[in-house]
This record gives sequence, structure tokens and C-alpha cells, in this order.
Amino acid sequence: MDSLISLKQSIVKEFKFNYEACAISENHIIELLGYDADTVPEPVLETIIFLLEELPNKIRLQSGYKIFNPRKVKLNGDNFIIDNRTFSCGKIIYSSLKNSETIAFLISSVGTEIEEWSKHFMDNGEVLKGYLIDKVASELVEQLADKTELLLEDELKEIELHATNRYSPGYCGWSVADQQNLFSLLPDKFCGVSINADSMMMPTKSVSAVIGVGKNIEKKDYQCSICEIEFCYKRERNA
Amino acid sequence: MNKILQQLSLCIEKGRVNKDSNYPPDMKGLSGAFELTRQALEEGVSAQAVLNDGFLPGMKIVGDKFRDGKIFLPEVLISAKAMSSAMELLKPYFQSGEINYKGKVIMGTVAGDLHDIGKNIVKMVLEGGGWQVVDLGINVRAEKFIDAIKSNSAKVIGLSAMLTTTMQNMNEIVRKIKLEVNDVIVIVGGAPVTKAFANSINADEYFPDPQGMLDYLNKKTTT
Repeated sequence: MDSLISLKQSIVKEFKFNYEACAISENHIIELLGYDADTVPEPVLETIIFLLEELPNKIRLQSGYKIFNPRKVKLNGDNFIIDNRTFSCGKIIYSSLKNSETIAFLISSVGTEIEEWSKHFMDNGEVLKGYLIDKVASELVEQLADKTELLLEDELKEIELHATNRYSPGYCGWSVADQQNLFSLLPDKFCGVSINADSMMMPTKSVSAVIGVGKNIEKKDYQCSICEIEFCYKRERNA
Repeated sequence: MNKILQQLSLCIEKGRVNKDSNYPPDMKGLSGAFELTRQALEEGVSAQAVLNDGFLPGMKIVGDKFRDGKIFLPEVLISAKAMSSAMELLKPYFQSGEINYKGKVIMGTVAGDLHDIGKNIVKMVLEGGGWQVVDLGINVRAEKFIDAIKSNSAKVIGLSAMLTTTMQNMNEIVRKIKLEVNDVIVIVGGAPVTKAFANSINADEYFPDPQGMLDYLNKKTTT
């Protein structure tokens, strides 16, 4: 059976998770900050413990994906087109997507409360707390995106399809301005996320990404070595 | 150097806020930055000396350790908190003009961008280094930057951007600033910003970390 025939129409799925689905441990946060259990300063450890106690009440984990009907998708030179909208993803991303037969979009968000919580501390001079909350929120939303990517891969496996890595507007040489096109092809406020005129996502702790889907594609490592953005979080995360 | 100021410098380096603080464990029960600042002022040490010989050496050690990868950002923030709690006692002296800042820096996150954590950390490090920072906040348009430069007679401006699109807004803001104001040093930074990008938009300097900016500004004041 041609697996793509089963994708006669686009598939849209949205999930809500409780905190346990993406729980983050004390040791993980310590490592994220560059320490280990023996070297972490006491005020940092105290802040982490405080943060972990409050965290379940401060996040709203939502994610989802849309797999497009292959007939609506064209890969064309250095870009891809969906429903007549052109995505200029650049050569790094295109080289990973080029053998795809269709495209999926992925959205994840940890909600607005956690960023308000961080801002509250920053505004009141508790910069360490504000910074740690921000750092943890960034990690949580990436973990949520990882989890959602796995759910997508499971769904694709059932119809014998594979997925590439995920690539986000704003990274790997892809202009974040394409967020406008990306969100225009998703339901309104999909997973609670919207964008402003400057293509910033609200809530800010959100991930949007594109994933190539096909029978004969493989998941390649990020090609950080050919990208010039030295302090990109993807480089840090994949180190 | 005055012994109190040496102790004050050590408290700031170690992040000891006050006597009630349990941190660091090896200084438990001892006075912190707050009490030592008050004591120095009560004993007639000038406020300028408290800043120059107490606060700044402590933060300088912290900044150097951070730049050299010997400590991580949370420790810089712990030290900055100790400093800012003691800085409250110096505020009246800044207001009266008894203490002089090294200079004034206008800072803001560029139009379209709502990220402020990185900018706030740079601000803390600069303030800890004796610079006055006029923080314009987030989502700042070129006109607001230009007005602030003119009304504050500032010679340095720092622009932050965290997204590739708002980097483009940075380009436009730098262009407008350079058109409207002579003799201002434009410094850019933020996660996606690179030295090559800074050069391409005609910014004067780019630094990947706060200490780099502080070192540059300090060097500028001595040359």
C-alpha cells in the first residue's frame, strides 16, 4: 500500500499534558546551569527547590501538530510551498527536507503564567529567581516539543512514514518572518499560541517548527558547523 | 585600602548580602555588604571610595571569573544582589552628585522584541561596574532611543535583540541613530547577533557577554 495515500487530508492533533508529562528534575536544572550536585551554590539550590515546588501551578502544557495533505505541498529549489504559501527555509533546512513527501508543523507552549512569574521576580530585583524560571521554562518547552515530536513519529510509523528533525523559523538561517505563513495555515490560537506583527509568539515560551515527512527520509543531526550563529540554543542543546 | 572596604569587596565577590544571610556558609554570622557599606559611611569613608574601592573591585573579580568560565551566571547574579542591596545606601549620594558614575549608557530591547532577561543582566553588570544605565525597556523604537540619547547627553547606547527578525529592526534603528546623532557608540548584542552582523549594520561594537561590554566601556574611559 502507498502509505501517502492514507494522507488524503491534513491531520490536525492537539494535546494537553499535566506537569508530570514533562517534569524536570533538580539535577537536570543544576546541569543546565553548568554545575553538578557538589558545586551548585546554596542560593541557587534553594531557588531550584522553591521553583520545583511552585512549577506545577505555573505551567500550562499544550502542544500539537498538523500533517499536511501531500497534494498541497511542493518542495521547490531552496524553499517549500504549502497551499500557495512559500516558505524560504534556506539551504541548511532545505537539505534536510528535500526528500520529504509532505510537511508537518509542530507547536508547543508552556503558557503565559510562567513568563509572568519570571517577570514578577525580575521587576522586584529577584534576578536570580527570574533568570532561573526563564531558563527552566525554555527547557520545558523544548522537552514538550521533543515529546510531541515522538507522538508525531509514532503516528507516522503506523503508516510506514518517517520524520526529519524539527526546524524552527528564526534558526538555521530561516527567517522568523515565515511564522506569519506558518500560523496562517494552522487553526486560530492553535495550542493557545498566536503571533504578533513582528512574528513573535505569544506566549513567548513556545516552539513552532516544521518537520519533513516521507518514506525514504532520515533524521539528520543539526548542521551547526555550517551555521554562523555561535550562541544559538540549538548549538548549546546539541553539544 | 581601608579594611572595611576590603571586607565589603569580598562580600560582594562572595555574594554576602547581610548579616542575617546564611550564604556563603563560611561567612555565617559576619557582616554582609549592607552592614559594611553603612559602617564605612558612618566612619567617614567617602561614598565615592565605597563605590570605587568596595563595590567595583568585588564585581570586577566576579566579572573576570565569569568571562574566564570559572563561575556561571547564577553566581554573577548572587554577587549583583549583594551589591544592589548595599547600593541602596549610596543612592542619596548619587542624587546629590557626591558620587560620579563612570558614564551613562542608554539600553533597550529593539522594536518588536519583548525579551528582556539578557538586557537586564547586562544592565546589572554595568551598574555593578559603576555605570549609570537608562533602561528604556522592551519593544523600543528608533525615535525613543534617539530622544533618550539627546535628553541624557549619552555617548553610549546598547541595543538588544533575541530574534532574527528583530535583528532586522536593529539594522533600521542603528541606521536612524547614526543619521540623527553624531558621536555615539552603538553596541549590539543578543543571542542571534554576531560580529559579522554588527559590522554589516554599521554598529560600532558587538559583545557576546556583559563583561566584554563592561571591560570595553571601562577601557574607553581610561583612554
